Amino acid sequence: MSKKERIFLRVTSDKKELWEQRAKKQGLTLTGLITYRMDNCETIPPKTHEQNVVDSMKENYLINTFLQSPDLSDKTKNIIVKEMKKYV
Amino acid sequence: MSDLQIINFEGNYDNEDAYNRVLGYIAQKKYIGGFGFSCMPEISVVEWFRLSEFYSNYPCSRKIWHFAITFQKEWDSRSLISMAVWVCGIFREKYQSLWGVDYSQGTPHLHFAINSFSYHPDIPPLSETEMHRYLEDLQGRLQQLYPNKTISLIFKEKDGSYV
Repeated sequence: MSKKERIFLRVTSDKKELWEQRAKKQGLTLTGLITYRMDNCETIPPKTHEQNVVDSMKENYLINTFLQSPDLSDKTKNIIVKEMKKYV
Repeated sequence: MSDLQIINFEGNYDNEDAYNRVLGYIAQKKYIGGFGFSCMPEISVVEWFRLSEFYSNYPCSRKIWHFAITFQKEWDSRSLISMAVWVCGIFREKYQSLWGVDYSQGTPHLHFAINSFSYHPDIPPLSETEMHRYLEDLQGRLQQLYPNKTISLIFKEKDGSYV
């Protein structure tokens, strides 16, 4: 790796020592560990439970609307409910 | 007997199996629905409710609230489902819910499960005082919608007695 391709990372000596220990435990160099972690990290943070619940409301609205619809037969509504029951 | 009765059940809802018992009971009804969960194989509705407790920043011994709305005269299924969705809508902004239309005994009636724990971690769980306020508010709203009907609010104790 040429000097131009290198990057510098500013950390305290305590943190560097801790990271080196962690890398050693996993049979890696510190550079290897950081590279591995960066290659495998998610670029988008995972959704929170709160956000998942808010998002789920769209599905709930749709199902509740279907169940209230006068245009759907009881048989169709029963199929929807039967499917929902599988996931309780 | 009133035309409509809102009955709050004061059972044992502090145990770990409270979610399973109440949600499982309502899930047996002919029609079910609710707010605050997705139907997917990875996470059950019970787990959706449990996760709100897990992420909540507040402790609360009571896991879930269970109440019913009964009717003296038989209402058609569409009206019952519409009422169930409307009632759960009152709690939707803060708390997860499951409703069910029960045809098993008496006139068809509605059952509701409301999670004590909000899915917003910073919102406190539904205390007894607040739940009673919600139910009194519900009684008032129903009375406005149906001015010619009598609507009562009943608190059923653990021993089965009514308050």
